[in-house]
Amino acid sequence: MRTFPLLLAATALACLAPAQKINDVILKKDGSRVRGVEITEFLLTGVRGKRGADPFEIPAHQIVAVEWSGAPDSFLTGRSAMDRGDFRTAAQMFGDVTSDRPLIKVDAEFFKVKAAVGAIGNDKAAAATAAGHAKKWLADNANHWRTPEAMLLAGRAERLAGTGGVAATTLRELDDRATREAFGAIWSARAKSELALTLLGDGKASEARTTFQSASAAADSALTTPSPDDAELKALKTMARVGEGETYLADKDFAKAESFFRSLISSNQPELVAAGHAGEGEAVFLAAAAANKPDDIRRAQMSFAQASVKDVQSGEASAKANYYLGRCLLALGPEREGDNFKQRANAYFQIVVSSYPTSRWAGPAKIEQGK
Amino acid sequence: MIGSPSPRRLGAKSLLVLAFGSLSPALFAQQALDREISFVRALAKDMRFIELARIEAEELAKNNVSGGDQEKIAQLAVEVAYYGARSRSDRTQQRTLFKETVTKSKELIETSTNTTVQLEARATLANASQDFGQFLIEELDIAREGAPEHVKELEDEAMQVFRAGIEACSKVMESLKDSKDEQKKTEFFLMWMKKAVLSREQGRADKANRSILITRAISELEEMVLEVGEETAIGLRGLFEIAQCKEVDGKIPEAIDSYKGTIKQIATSLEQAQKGELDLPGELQAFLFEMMQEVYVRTGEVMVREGAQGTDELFAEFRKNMTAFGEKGAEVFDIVSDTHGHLMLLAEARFHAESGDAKKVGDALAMAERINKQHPADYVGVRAKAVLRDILGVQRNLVSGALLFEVAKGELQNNNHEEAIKGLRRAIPAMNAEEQQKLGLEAYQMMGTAYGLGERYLEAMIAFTEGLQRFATTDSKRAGDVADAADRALSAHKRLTKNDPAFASLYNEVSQLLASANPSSGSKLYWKEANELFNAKKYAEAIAAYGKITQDFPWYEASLVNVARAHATAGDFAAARKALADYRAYTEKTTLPASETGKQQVRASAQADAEYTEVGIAYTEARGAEDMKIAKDLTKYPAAIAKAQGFVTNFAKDGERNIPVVLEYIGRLNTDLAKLDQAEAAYAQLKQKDAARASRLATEIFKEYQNQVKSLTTELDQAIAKGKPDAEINKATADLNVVRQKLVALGMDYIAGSPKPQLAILVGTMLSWEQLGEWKRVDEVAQKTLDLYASDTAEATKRVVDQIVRPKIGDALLQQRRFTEAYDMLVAAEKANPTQWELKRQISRALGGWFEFNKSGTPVKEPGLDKPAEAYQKYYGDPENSYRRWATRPEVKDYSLEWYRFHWETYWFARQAGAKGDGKMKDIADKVYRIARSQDDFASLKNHGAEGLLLFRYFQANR
Repeated sequence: MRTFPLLLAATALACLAPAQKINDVILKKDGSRVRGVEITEFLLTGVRGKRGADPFEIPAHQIVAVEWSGAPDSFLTGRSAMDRGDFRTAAQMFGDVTSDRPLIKVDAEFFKVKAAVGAIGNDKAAAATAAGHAKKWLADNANHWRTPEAMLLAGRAERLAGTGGVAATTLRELDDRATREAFGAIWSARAKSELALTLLGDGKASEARTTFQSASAAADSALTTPSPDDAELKALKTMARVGEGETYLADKDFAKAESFFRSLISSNQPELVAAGHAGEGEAVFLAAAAANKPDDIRRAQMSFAQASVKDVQSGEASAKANYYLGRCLLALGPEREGDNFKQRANAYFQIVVSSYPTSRWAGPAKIEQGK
Repeated sequence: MIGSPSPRRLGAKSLLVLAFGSLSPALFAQQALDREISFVRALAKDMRFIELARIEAEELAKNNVSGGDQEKIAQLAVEVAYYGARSRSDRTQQRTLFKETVTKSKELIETSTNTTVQLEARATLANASQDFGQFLIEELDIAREGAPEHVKELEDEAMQVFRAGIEACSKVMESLKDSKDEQKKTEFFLMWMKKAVLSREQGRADKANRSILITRAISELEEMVLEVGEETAIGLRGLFEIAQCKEVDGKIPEAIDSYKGTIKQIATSLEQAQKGELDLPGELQAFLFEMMQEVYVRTGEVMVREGAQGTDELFAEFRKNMTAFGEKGAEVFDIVSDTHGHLMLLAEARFHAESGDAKKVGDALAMAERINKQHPADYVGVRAKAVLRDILGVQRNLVSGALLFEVAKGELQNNNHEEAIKGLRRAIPAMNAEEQQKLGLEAYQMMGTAYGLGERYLEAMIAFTEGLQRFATTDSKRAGDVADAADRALSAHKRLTKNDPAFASLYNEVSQLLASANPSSGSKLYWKEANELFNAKKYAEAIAAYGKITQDFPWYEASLVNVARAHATAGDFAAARKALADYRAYTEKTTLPASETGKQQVRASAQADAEYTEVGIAYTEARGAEDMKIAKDLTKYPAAIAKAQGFVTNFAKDGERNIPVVLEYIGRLNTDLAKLDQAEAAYAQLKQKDAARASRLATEIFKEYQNQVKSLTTELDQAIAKGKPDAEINKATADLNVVRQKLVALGMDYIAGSPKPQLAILVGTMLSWEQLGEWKRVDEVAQKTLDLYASDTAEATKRVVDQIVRPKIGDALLQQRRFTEAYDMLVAAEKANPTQWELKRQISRALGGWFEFNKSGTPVKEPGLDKPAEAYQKYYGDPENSYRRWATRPEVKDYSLEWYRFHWETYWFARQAGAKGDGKMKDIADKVYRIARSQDDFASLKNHGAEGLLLFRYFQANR
């Protein structure tokens, strides 16, 4: 068989073919990938496009992520920076994105907002700027499958900017719309959790406690029906219960906080057990550090170690435990922890930064490393 | 099945070249060195003995130093580096070696004047550029997924490499184009294809110029295929390369069609070969089989990426073809090549993982994990890790606990401790009951290990104990190991936290758990506790703890002996002996089976320890011990020595660690008994085993020799004072010197073996050498003493060094008749130490000499520098600065030895000056002589021992 003439013919025909075929990928919550599609439209309800000549629509609640065909380098670099917790670089990269496809540009703007919120830390001015960008994005993209997340980000940015009232309004609206417009139960739980954090930040510990309880109940309710969101709902529930305990810490009622977290340890849900240990350790540590009681810091160490070993979710509890284990070493110093105490403390902080970059403890760990 | 090679049509020679993926630069005539170079090149290229080839190349470089030869050898070294890069699987090493090859090839092309070397260097550069470029393209793939910020710099680097490669290919093609040689023709076509491929790959990296570069590459390839013939192996390969050009150019459907066409053509050829319809040598079949896998990878990856129809069918067809044309009866994973074959299986895994189907996801994870394990650091491994990361990031809930466990295990093996911990924490709850029973404890063991490796011993301890609490009963075989690991973590944590009592309760809980988890753990804890108590000198408590250890514990017999040791150390020898007797009774009635080698070793060691304990008791009972209120008892020495000697004879192997102590015992016991020869024998043995201990024993023996010297000196002095006959005095002197000889022998041995010998021994040895008249030795020891102690500022040390050691150096030089040297040194020393009076005396002796009897008893006048008048002046004449001022201090009594010596030396210098015609000096000499004899005609001198007797004889001989 002589194939070469055929190849030559094909080459000639190829000259007439269109340049590059669009090959977007949609990653779904069940883990499957829909490849070889061209996304043409974003709606509040989902994503539309065509696969070959066939149109398709995937509901928003099934989508985890979109991978763009021929995404600009700055887009890819931004995603990579965000994955490793380098939010400042990510925001800068997303800001640099240019593309012939408007949908990519919109997506880049969304990620720029998300990265900017991740990069806030303790900077209220940066938070206010991020909140402004989030609101603008929402105004420009009212009907987008990422709208709920953008609202959540806006609320978070407003909370961190110190505008708790505005944040509460945004988040209550998200909670309302989640029910009214059927975003999914998870958005209600997310909104409630963020709202509770907002109230806690505003010094309304009692109200925050009630809201955390409400968030936890929302997650519980959603968990009664199996869905791909179950893992996140469990995490949200854990976060809400932890938040509830942390309201006592905000009140500096360490004994009450310790007692609350201890009650979580006896839970039959493994994820709460680790969170309970970590919370108990935090309560003990904060009280001990204030009163300079090394023996109590030892007690905190044991709680954190338990949290580290038992955290089946490998998330916030581990991050918190490792962060505070480093703090414990610094508080105990060379007399009790040997000459390499600082080096070992930094190793703990590095674990938080490297292995839990998106946790809320990564920022404080970086600060400790910089001291 | 793909058979053995047998070159035939279709460019068989070129197949080898293709298979190795590089051109041979051995195009040129060989001379002697060339033959050597060819051999070394073959070592690296064909046999992959890279290190050996490198050494051989270095050897050639040493032995062939002419400029031309050096260039050839440099080219060889570059080639060896290139083949080294190709043979590595570690990507970091590969990068370094490829870069080195490219850089050095360029250097050689620029600097060499030898056209042959230049051509070879260009061929190497072309080959290396393709491989390095391919490597960089892979790096780009990796970076696009994990670190896009590095993409730009990698693209730039790749483009440079490709450009240099294209240029090198053109130059090599130029030199080969007119050749009639078949092999060279083949190499020409290969170089042509390489040039086109480099152009395509440059286009892959260079988006801006991609279109032009791809068009150029396709054009070159088409021309090449037309010329060589598409039915040849090179032609077939060329078609595949053209298809890849289309893929790079974004013409995906065409590329897929071309790939599929190529696969079909290869499959047809292989099928016809199997049926005997086509005469295809085994070697060529193997080549086509490998190429088919490469085409499949490209097809599979592009189809998965594009979400193309028929992807599932492609993977099924791949498996079918691999089974049909590969090794019969083997698993597909083993049939396929570990490069392209495994990459294709990985593409299949990724495809299945994206299905969302739990079974397929599980299978995909298992395959990715299997590939990852087989490729720890190469490109395939990097790709496998990316697939694993993707699956675990999104579809963890679809994966079994056992698989998550395997993945975590891989993370631990790769030293990713936190990732391993995270994986294990997820894996344990994801395991079903059966998996937990089988793997639960191992998972906790690994988790504890991962924590421990990061010095996180508290977490390690908790992980181990958590595992034991949950799974010790279901995995009892492992429980012992985990308990041991937990125990080690506990000890490490104790050390780290300085045994903080805040953890006492935790430690206690853990210890109790360990004791229940492992039957021998209880004994182990008692063993540790007892040893700690023993070391803390809490002997009664230690004995009690040893008593709790059960017979099944491996070190049970050692614990029985340790009870005796504890009693003995506490001073209760009777209880110790009883414990030893009990132990021996136990060993007599308890026979250990041959299979229990561990316990047998412990018994051998315990028996040696038992004997050693008895030696210690006997030693203490003989020499006494103040703290135990035991008096020295000479009657017990023989038994103690015998016991110790017995130990050395019978327990040299099992009691080896205690042999040095026992030898020291033997040495000390014999020293006490003045049996210095036996003591020295022990010292000689000890020196070989324990230098520090031997040093200590040497000082003991040395002191005893000094005692003996002192005693014999007293005897000699008494003999002289009593006017004993010369024969008797001579014998006493000889006896004394024999002991002195032994003393200096031991002293010198000690000095040579000790890093900082004691000052007393140095001085003692030096003075004994002086007494023996061995001035060279005096000088040596004095110099050594100064080296070690001259800078010591301690008052006592300084005094000894200044008053005894420093003057001896001058004295020794004088005695060796090195007068000028001695004089200069002494004058310099006097300048630095103007109140060191002994220096002034030695200066006088340097100037004016002395009188002595040589070894045969003949009188000798030693003139020194023969300046007796100056000597006299230095010694006596100057009332302020001469030696006289020191010699006439109130402490020096009239007619004492020092008084007599002063008068003798004054007399001597004055007498010698007088003999030179100085009348005044003669008068002074006479006057001094009269003063010295005025008491009792020198008779008193005999009361001053051997030295007094010597002065007596000096005066007598020089009346």
